[in-house]
Amino acid sequence: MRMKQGSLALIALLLSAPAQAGDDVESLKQLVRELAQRVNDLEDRLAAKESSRQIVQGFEMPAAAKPLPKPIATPDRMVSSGNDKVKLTVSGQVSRAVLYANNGQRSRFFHVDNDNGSTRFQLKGVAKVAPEWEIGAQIQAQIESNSTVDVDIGKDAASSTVNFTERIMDVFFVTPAGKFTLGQGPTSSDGISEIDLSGTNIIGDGASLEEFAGGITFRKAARPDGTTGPRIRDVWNSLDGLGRRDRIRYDTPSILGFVLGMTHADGDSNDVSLKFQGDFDGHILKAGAAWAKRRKMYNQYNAGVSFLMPCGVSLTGAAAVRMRTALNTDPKVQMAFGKLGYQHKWLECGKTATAVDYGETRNGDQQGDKIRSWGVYVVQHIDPAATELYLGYRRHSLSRPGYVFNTINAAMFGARVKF
Amino acid sequence: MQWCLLIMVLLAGCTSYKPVTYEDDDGIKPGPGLVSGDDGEIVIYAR
Repeated sequence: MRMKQGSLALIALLLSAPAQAGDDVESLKQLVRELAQRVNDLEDRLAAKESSRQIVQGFEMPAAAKPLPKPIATPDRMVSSGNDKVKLTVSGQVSRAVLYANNGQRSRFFHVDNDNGSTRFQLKGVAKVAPEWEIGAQIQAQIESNSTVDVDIGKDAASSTVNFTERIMDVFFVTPAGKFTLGQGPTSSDGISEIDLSGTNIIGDGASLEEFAGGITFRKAARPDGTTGPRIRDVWNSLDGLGRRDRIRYDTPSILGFVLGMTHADGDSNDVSLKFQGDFDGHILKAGAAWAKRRKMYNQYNAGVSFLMPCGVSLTGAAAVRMRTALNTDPKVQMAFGKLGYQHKWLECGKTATAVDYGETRNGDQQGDKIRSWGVYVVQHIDPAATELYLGYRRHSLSRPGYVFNTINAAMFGARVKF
Repeated sequence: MQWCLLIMVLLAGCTSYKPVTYEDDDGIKPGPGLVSGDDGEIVIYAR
């Protein structure tokens, strides 16, 4: 009897099993449908958020103003792997400051663009055509509103005055035999007088002292009626090679830290330079020397060196001489410059760099001219924000045979942000 | 020229010396940027 009852229960169970399985499948299907619906809802919400961020023709398109399109996936070309064969990049900086100047008779505040490291941007495209071979093009422009080398006491500059000037517009070819550059840009001798490892370049760029307040005019001390002399930038000359020009330039590959460069520039100008950078157990040495010639104008030699020790102390110097060939009676223009710096990371956000410098230029504008200038600077680097905050002071004295000029004092504070 | 060669030979023999590729200072501030990150350049196209 018991066996019969057990058999009947087993048969009933076997008969009911397919029905039970069918119910389970149905509930699973329902669950999947619900999950799919929730996924769709989430996707729609994400699409709404993404589309509200998209910039449509220069303005933000609010999410409610338009039917929501499907989110636009980031295209692969916007992502750089570091191994890309073709790459276009943009970089730049904004550099603004407040400059105070006193010419011995009057004082004034200016809101300026700091010419030591002006506001500028750059587009650069590079294609790797083969291992160790690159072809590229570069455009770098400078946009200065009220440059420190232009503003002067007694001259009002319209607030809309902006100097948009070329800096670099060239094409270049990097090969195992060196780099060839063709177009507008720095010559190989450019920048040697500005070699400076003090960390204060944004307010004292090596020997280019005229970039601090170069537009201010010296006033004759005996003539308080406003009779003027030259501007600072007319008499101070860092003799920094041939500067930036339309040129063809060649630089050798770096050999033990040495690079030999040469340029032929517009106006039959030529230069040859030898530059060096090396690390001696944490002691960094950077140096350069150049010869430059402008046909029927001058021959020039300039050199610069900067040495940074692990303790943060830096020593920088530059010297140059220009022999004018247009008129043999002209005197030599001579420049000498020295700088002592100290940098240390007192704050977590970045190093603090301080420096004092002194420089002289003789015969810069007229025979017998002698301008002397000294300055003191402090620059706080804020690394997380790619920013430098700076404060500095410069004093300029000019002596010219037969004239007495008032001393020009200038102080500046400001910030440079690299984007 | 002879001095240059002599200096190069001395540098090559100096064990603590590490040559660094000379970088021109004239241009954009070196190092990372506010939005460009460690590269200091915003890549707007790459392939």
